[in-house]
Amino acid sequence: MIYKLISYSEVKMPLPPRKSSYAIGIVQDTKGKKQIVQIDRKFFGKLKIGMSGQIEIHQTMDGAINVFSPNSYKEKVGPKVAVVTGSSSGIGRAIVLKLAKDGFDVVVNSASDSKKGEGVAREIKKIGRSAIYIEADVSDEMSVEQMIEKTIKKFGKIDLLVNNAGITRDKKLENMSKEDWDKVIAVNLTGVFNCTKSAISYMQKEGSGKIINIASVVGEMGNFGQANYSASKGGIIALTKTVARENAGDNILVNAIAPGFIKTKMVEAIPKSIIKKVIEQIPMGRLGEPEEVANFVAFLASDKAGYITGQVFNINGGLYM
Amino acid sequence: MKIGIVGTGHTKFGKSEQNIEELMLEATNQALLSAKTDIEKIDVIYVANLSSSFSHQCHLPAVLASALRVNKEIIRVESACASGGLAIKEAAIAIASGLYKTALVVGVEKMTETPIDETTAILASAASQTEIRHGATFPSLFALMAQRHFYKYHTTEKDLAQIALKNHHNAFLNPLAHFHKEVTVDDVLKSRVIASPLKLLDCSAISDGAAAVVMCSEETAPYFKSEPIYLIGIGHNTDFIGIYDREDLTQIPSVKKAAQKAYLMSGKFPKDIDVAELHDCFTIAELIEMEDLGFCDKGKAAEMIAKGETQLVGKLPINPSGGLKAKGHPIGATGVSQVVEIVKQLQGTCGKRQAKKADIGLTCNVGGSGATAIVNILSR
Repeated sequence: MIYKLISYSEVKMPLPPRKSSYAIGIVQDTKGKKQIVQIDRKFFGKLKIGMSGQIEIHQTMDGAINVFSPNSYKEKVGPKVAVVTGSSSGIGRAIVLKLAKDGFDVVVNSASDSKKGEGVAREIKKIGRSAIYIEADVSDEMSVEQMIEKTIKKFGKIDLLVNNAGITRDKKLENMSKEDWDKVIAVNLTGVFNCTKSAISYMQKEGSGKIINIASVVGEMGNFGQANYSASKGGIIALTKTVARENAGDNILVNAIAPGFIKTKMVEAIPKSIIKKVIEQIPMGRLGEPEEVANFVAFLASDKAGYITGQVFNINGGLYM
Repeated sequence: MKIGIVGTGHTKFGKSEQNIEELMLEATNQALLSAKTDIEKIDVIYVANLSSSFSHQCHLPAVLASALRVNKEIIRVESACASGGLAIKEAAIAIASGLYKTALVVGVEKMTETPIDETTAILASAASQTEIRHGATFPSLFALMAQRHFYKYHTTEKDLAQIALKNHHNAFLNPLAHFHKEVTVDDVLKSRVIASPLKLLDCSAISDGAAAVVMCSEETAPYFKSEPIYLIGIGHNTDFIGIYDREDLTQIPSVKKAAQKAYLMSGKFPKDIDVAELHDCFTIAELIEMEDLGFCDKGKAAEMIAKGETQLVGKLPINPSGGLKAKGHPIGATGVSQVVEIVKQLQGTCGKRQAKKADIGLTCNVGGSGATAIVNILSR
């Protein structure tokens, strides 16, 4: 049976206890019988009176409902788009390369170091995916907004945001300057706020999206000399849970990953004697590889992870359980 | 049939400190005072109220009896947002039957203490179960009518915004209105979307309030020391509950039928109406009712609005009180409040919002998404 849409409304204030928006419509079949239908929010902005389509019966907690899908609409099956901050090197670089291999188009970002960033973008293009490098300091609201706008201009959407950019300014608390504190909080924590705030409005419009925040084991257990860094990473964990709660209704899934000590420049900067002591505390007896974090990001970013939000995942070789 | 209305009472609409009992009592006492009578002279009382879920009080007649310290015939009337209008009709019938000479009607709702999510769900319970199961809210049901009207008659969001602007302007002149704030077309268009194409400022307010009238038989009216206004035509119809069952989404058949009856009973025609209070729970409702009441041809309401004919200074002022949109919409009180406004307009006591010519007035009170309609025609 073919059904014709007689009228419709995008319901932005849903009927409780429903949390996310949907459209309702009235359709007429070929015999002239009218029915009320619900329409998925992915059709927002595309509905027109007179369009024809099909009805499927869906079982809900309240009983069976008619769900209408217009015929003429072809679902965009183009590649998904990811923005990964701080991805010119280290864990970020491993993440963009893995996502590209999994079919994502990506935005490579760093605060400076455009040479390396452009290089990563070129590597991705070799894999056969589209990539651009955008220089932006995540602690600067304006420059983040410009980055997200450029992304939308180039790719039309953002499916995944990975907040990875982070810095360290390690000192024992009494030697830590206010500037050291402010700088680390500004990049690591305020940076996540800036990027999330800017990108989430586009995800809300699409009615779907994923955000993965790279926290740290240090945000869970603290670490000598890292008052600023541990506070910023602990903050990311709390922020993740709040954003997850606020946006679950819009089908935006927000999670955090807390890596342990991973073989990156950031860890290489720690004196060898200290690294040795750290490794002694890791049950698996070795540092992690950036790819071991990237693989888990790729899993969370995939359609396989459709019912996970507000969680913190430890990838630390057993350092913190 | 001619029923006298000899007294009116009306609390301020909006967010009130008073409970449901106090609201009823205030409106009732005002009505009795303006009729220069007392409760002992009232033969029967009708209480209009939508939902006991707001105040968790379902035995309102007894609550009112306690408040008034009387032991009398009191009846609760419910027909969704048309409860007030229906209570007036029932009182008129009671008087016309000859069993009663006088009646008091009080409509009330206390809504603002209920959280918005709960309110949305309580209001939605006046829609069909099928609609509710599909997630329909009242704004979305009226939005379906609006979208279809846009499609069929090229009505626009701006036309609807003009209604909001007018009714906010009128409410500004009404001391008892919920909102005293003028709005611009731009304000309406930029307000957040509730159910497209309807935006926040296309929707009526959630308010507390009560309204009351003292009614009597034609023969009894001269015994009251106040100037009576007469109810000369009443029409009431109840149609299918679901709007998907309606042949044409741009029409409210219950309004059309109720209007025909009221015109027939009163011997009046749409052109005879000087001033009207319509059920603008959403701006689109006022526009569709204008057409269904015969104030203009189908699809021509937007033209009438654009010409300014429905403004206070226009040919047919609509919702001089500010309407449900801006005066407020304490549901059970609304149908009674509409009659109070028309009575005052016909008495010429509306001050700054007084219509220039007010000999014949009309009220249109609608329940649900148009399933129930009551049209009253009043005359001096």
